[in-house]
Amino acid sequence: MSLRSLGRVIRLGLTNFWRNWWLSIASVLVMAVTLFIIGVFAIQTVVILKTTEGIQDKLDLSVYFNDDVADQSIQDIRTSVANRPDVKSVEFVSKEKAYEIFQQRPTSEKIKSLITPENNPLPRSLVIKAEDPSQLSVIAKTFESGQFEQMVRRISYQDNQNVVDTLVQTESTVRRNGIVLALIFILLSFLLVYNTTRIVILSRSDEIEIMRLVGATEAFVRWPFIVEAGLYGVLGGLLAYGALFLFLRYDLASAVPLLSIANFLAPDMQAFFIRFFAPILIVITMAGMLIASIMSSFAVRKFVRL
Amino acid sequence: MIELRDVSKSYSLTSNAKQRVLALDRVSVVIGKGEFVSLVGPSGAGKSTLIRMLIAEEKPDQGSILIADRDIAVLKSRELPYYRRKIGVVFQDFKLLPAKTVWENIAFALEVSDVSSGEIRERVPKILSLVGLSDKADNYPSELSGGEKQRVAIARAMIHSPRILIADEPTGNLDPETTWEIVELLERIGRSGTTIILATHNKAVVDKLKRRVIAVEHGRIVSDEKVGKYVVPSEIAAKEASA
Repeated sequence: MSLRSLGRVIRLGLTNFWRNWWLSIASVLVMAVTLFIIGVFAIQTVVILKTTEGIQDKLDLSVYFNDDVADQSIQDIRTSVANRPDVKSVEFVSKEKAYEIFQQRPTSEKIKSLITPENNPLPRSLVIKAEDPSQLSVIAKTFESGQFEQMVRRISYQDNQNVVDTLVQTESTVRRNGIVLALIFILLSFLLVYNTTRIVILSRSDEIEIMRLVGATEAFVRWPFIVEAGLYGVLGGLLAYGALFLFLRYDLASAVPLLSIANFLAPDMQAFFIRFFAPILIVITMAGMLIASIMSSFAVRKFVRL
Repeated sequence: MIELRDVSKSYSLTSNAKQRVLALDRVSVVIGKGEFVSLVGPSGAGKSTLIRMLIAEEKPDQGSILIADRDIAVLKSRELPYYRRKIGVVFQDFKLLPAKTVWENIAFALEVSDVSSGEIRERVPKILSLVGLSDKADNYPSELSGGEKQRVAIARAMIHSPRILIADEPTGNLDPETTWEIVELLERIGRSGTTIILATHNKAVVDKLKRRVIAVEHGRIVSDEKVGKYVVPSEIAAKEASA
């Protein structure tokens, strides 16, 4: 299709849009709701994944040694553990370092004053990070038996795992609910856009017949309807974008329980939205345009024949 | 120019595909370049089917339709638009777009065919003056008389300068005086070398034209006279004879 015809096709599509404005508005609204729901869940999923990633990066395994173990032995253990393929890093925490860390904790001064550099019961430890945090328990197991039994005072890692499990759980719930809701609304918008395109085609059957008689190509007859649907998608995307902004800005998540599975993520979602406001706008309008055009092309294929 | 070879076409009457009615039964005919041919016959005789085949709206079950030595029965759907730009068609019901002016209706045929705006501005006035509607360019179809509407339709059909103009009952909705205006316009277009096929019920028109007349009945060509007269359908003729 030449540039000239493309311009004419777009103009015909826009004319169609205004001629059936009540149908067009219904289609724009349902596209907006669909894109809004997809947007909420997509942003939620991305934020949860990023949070999980951040927390997983902080997950580690601390092995505390009895005070009677020689420093050299701990260093040897450190070297051998560092060589394991599933271990990302190993850090030695000396008694002095442990004291420093303890003093920085938000504990009451009274408790803090019980421990001094001279009287320091804090054990030395190795802080181990795994390549895959879920494998920390496997690494921990090796310190629970054999030669280590006499050397190790305590192993700590489980507390953190709960947080990760919760997040992973939340993420899969959000994703599942998101996919189900999104599918329902994609189906709804498909039915509406398909039907709108069908009605528009039928109401213009005279014009289609005339176009055919005077030698319009198939593409020239069909594309105005797809352009029109694309416009539903773009306008729906803009509306959905505005709704997303209000939704996150005024923390309306709690008002719509179905959408706010991960209520505690609202600030992160807001930050994410603000940080990527331009890309989100582009993605949401382009996605709307694509989804609606594809939906209408089914109707066009079925109802416009040359 | 136009050659039909053993063209047959049947339609199924009901959803039952076995019950078929034969609309065209091995029709063969040759129409030369620049000929003015009247196509007559009662409703349901196969006239409309013949015309729908010529404008490639339908394909024959059998046989071939050669237009300028090309079989249009085997045209692919993406080739159809380019074929349709080479033939002009007008109908009884004009088929004008009510929301467009006379000018826009004609320009539309060029717009969909990827003609530049400059060329459209050049060609539309010429064709409007050919059909004598230069002063009605900005009127809407609802503001025109029947004859004027048909002249707009003829202008639109001629805008691609086709070598064949097919007119399916063009005067069916017009009063006698207007009918003559339209027939005269068709003759004028014919004189410039365009092949004209005029399907009509109008006996007076056919008789006065003194041109070739092809009569169709029951899907067959029943007569084909070089300088013909309107052929009365056999049933009516039989009725008249018995009366």
